[in-house]
Amino acid sequence: MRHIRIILVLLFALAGLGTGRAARAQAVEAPAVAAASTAPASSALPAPPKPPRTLRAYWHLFAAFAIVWLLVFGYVVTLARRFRRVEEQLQALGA
Amino acid sequence: MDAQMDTGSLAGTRRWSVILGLLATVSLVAGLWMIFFYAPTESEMGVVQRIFYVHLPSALVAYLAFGIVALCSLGYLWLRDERLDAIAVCAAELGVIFTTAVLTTGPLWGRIAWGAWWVWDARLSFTLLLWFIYVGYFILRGATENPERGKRFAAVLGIVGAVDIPLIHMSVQWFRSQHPKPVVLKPEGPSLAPEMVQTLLVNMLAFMLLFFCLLLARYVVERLSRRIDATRLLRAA
Repeated sequence: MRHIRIILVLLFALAGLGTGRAARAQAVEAPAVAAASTAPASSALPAPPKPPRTLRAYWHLFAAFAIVWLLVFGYVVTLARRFRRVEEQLQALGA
Repeated sequence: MDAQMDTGSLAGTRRWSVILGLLATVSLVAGLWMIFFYAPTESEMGVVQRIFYVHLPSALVAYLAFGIVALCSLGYLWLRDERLDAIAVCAAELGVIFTTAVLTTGPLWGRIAWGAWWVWDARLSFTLLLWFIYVGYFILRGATENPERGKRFAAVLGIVGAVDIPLIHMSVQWFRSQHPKPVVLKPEGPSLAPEMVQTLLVNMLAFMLLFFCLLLARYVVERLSRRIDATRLLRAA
């Protein structure tokens, strides 16, 4: 489980590095790829205004990845604790 | 003899969990690299669209988890096999974790894309309902004095709760919705750049591997703790 924690910390670092890279790429106004939007509004509703490209978007991106990885990391930690407790109880029962 | 066989199978399960964990780690690293270094920036929403690569896999894994809960609960009600109940509990726990990820990453994306953290749209509301149903699943298990009855009630709720999954999936077709319609799984093919589809597929694989790794590890803990409880009861009797 200790190895899993180290790996998750490395994943966090990679996510942070990636967010920084994305921020730099957009800061220099790299030409956006004209890919189809992944969030087209329903045709029955008026199209929402195009979101402004502000620094706030990077915070949201960082927060989303941080939350997902914290959830996974937290779950792995609780699982490791539960496993250790169960092992101790099994040893105590065997003794 | 049964206990020995069970211990052997649990050791095998644990081994598979480690193998899947390693595969999940490799694919998660590859997926993260693709999200930030390979997939292009979406033209309308900009960088915040990259949340899509964790939002959608989390949602699909949550559906899978609750589907497993429903199947195992059905099996438990029919066969009264404790192992099926154990799998259902573990899958429900992971389903709640991944649904929490969906319900937190969605508003972070929506705030930038739609200008609102939350809208009471059919898909969002049904997803929140799904989360409440499976949180209720755990409350129900612990609420009854008779544990066997708690398991039966929870199994029924686990089956009923899964009915919400097709509702979530179809809600964007059936109701006026702010939430986007499917962009990958649709008859005319994905409406995304090929690099985006590849990135999504790698991340979906990574999340699936992560889910099965955690499911197996959690299953081992669940079975061992049930064995401890049973041994204590036997000794007390």
